[in-house]
Amino acid sequence: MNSSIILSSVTFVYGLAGVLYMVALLFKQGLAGKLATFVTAVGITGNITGIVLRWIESYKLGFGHAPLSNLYESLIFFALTIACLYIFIEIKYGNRTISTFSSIIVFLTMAYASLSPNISDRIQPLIPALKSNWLIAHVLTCFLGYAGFAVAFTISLLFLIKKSGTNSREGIFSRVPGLDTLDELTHQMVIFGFFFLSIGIITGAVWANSAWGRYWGWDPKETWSLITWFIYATLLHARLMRGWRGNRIAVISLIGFMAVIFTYFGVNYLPGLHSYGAIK
Amino acid sequence: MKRTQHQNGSGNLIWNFFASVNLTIVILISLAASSIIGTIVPQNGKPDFYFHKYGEVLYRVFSTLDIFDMYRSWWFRFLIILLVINIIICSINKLSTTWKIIFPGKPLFRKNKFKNSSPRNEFITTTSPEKLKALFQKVIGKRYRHVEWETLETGFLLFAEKGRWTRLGVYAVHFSVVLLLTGSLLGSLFGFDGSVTIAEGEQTGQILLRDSDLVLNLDFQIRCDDFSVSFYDSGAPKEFRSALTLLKDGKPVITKDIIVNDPLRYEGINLFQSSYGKLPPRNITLVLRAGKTGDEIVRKTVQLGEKIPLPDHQGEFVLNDFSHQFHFKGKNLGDAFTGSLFLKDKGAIDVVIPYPFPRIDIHSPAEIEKINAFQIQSMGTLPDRISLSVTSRNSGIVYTINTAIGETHDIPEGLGRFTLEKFERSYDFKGHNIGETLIGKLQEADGKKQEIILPLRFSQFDRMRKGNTAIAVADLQQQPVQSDIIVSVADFQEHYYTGLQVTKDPGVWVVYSGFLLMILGCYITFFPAHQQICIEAVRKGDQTVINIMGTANKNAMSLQRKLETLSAQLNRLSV
Repeated sequence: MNSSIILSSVTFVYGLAGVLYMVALLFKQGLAGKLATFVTAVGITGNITGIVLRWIESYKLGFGHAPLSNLYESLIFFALTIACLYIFIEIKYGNRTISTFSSIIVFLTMAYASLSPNISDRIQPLIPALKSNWLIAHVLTCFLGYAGFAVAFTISLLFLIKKSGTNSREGIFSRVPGLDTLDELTHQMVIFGFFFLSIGIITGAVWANSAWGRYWGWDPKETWSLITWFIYATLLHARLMRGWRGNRIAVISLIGFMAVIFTYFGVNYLPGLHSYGAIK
Repeated sequence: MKRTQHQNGSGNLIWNFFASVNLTIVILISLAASSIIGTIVPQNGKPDFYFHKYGEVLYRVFSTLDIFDMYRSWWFRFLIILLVINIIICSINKLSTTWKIIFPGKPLFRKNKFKNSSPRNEFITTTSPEKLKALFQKVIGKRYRHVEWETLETGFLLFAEKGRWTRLGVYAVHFSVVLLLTGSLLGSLFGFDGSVTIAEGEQTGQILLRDSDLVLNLDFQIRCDDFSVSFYDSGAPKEFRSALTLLKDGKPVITKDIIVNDPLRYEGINLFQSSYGKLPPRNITLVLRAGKTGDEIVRKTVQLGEKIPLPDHQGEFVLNDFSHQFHFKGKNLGDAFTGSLFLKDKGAIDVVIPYPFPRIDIHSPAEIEKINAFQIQSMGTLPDRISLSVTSRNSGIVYTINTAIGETHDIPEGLGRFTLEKFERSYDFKGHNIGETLIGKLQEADGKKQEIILPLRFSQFDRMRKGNTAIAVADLQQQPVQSDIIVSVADFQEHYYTGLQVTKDPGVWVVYSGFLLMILGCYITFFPAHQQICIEAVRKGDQTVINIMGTANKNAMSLQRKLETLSAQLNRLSV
């Protein structure tokens, strides 16, 4: 069994979980919900197995390194962190509906990694710039942060949908937690994301300083991570100091997640006078 | 820090302006939005690049607003300074109230501070309040730093709190931002960021500063003893390694191999591996063999440009150049040297020496013939007789003139007299090298003289003159000259230069403390809460009614769950 095959199958497992969550939400099927949780657990197990196997495979190829070194590996890890986070919240808050959109994001992330022709799932050796102990700390914290924001995004989405549908009485969202709870959950997830994004940016800066002699160089990727940080800092200040709640917080959370997506993918399309890890 | 609320005048207005959280939000959004510009418009490029890309009008607008170096522009710095002032003033403003909560002298608990709790936090037991007191002391005392009791007529009130100090977390975060910016300011004032390239075996004490292109003299010399690069099978780079020695007053003080992620640090100055390049090779071992026998005539290690005399005063050989992509007769040979053999009896012969040299059986005459054909002479010598074609523009007739260097011939139709003057191996025409060229002089019937250029590569060249005649080289069979010497390279040394980033940043430790403080501060701000609980135990008949209440400065949901767990736990114990 090779890790790529396992990870490709995990894509469909997550897809199934997404469908089950959807069914549970729309048709109020408790059984589907329980099944969804179980399928997610299977997906997470497969996901972890795939990553560990990939790690071992890279050692067998002779250039062992943690599987966090390219787009494919980061997507796989991103999916795992979101899945773990939504299952955690599901258990902690005893409500399955909040997992619905998250599970779809997990599925899309895995599908993009496994099916996009532009993303190579080959295990490649590390280029000199990536050979650092900071690699794991940096990527791990960044993606924990991204996962927090992704889950916050799905909860904000749920909030906005539920709020717009509140007028129609017998709304399909009766099982969804109350607006206050969703609002509070968004806030908690943003805090989680913000904490890890901060550490991610900081570990990145320390790494940059040990590799290139500058802890900050206004590289597009750095700058966009800072823009993301500013947006969520705005959210936190508005909420904690100005008492913003509900719609406004949800909207900032959506905008923030767009910035996350752009930091992650969009930056590759920007003109840069220098690119990451490149040796002149 | 205490300020009176009844201050009058503009001072108060300004203070309130900077103490406003709305201002914080506006600055944060402005910083986020304006930072986008610098990721779309490439930064620190050359003016002509921008001029071409954006056109004159946009160029002028962008230029005025410092968009091409926006993160160091006055307005971006202004935003950052504004943020710092805002952070400091907000913190001072809030700290005075927070301080009172954290250090109230004696903490004051009042029951009415606590909200009515959910029914789940209430339970009834038969145990007497006195027994409960001892039980609760054990459980609560373990979890809460500060516990106080208040005796009621029929029971007691228990107040407990923890995490009061966590309210300071947010100030730590704010102070860390100030530290970061102070550190970066220190770095830009007292540090530098430059680069230098050093060839293997050489040393320098000067670096080029990054942003100003000024030269900075270091108080030590950097010597590059060796550079090596290795690649994976896929061709991706594996490692760049420079062996560096720092010299002070000519004496080595430190020696270290640096790779990307492992710099050399010396007296606050850091040397990072940042680039590399190839230089012409060194110490080239040349072998000259007799073509007929394959016997070695000369073996010598030389540098490019060096001359090797041949034995018996036959002439000499000069190694001219080296290329990684040598094209010879339409074929890419890869690494190859070029040189010239100067033979007394045959003149100059250009020699191409591919590396590695093709394997040949040096004793087989046929093989030697082959290598000679391959190696020798991209050009030969000129034949004695040269035939030129002269086309008359009026009649269209083509005449052939058989001539030689130095001869003069009449052209029919009275079109003038042509003298072939010389042959040049490489001729410069208006700044372009047009290669091997014959040069002559045409004297027309009216006495006008003009130079005629006949490049061997471009047969139609003279038509451009648009004269009464168009002259071209009709037939020129160059005679390849063969020497009976085979030149080969047995070995050479790759010669690299290493590119180093040289930085000094005395502010970096301030920045790093800022980083640590920010992580710590964020953790304290976000996760542990300042929690206060109040447990009321009142005897009603032969039962004791226990009610658990609490407040926290953050994460109300989590507090609720904690209270429920606590309630369940106490309930179990109280039986």
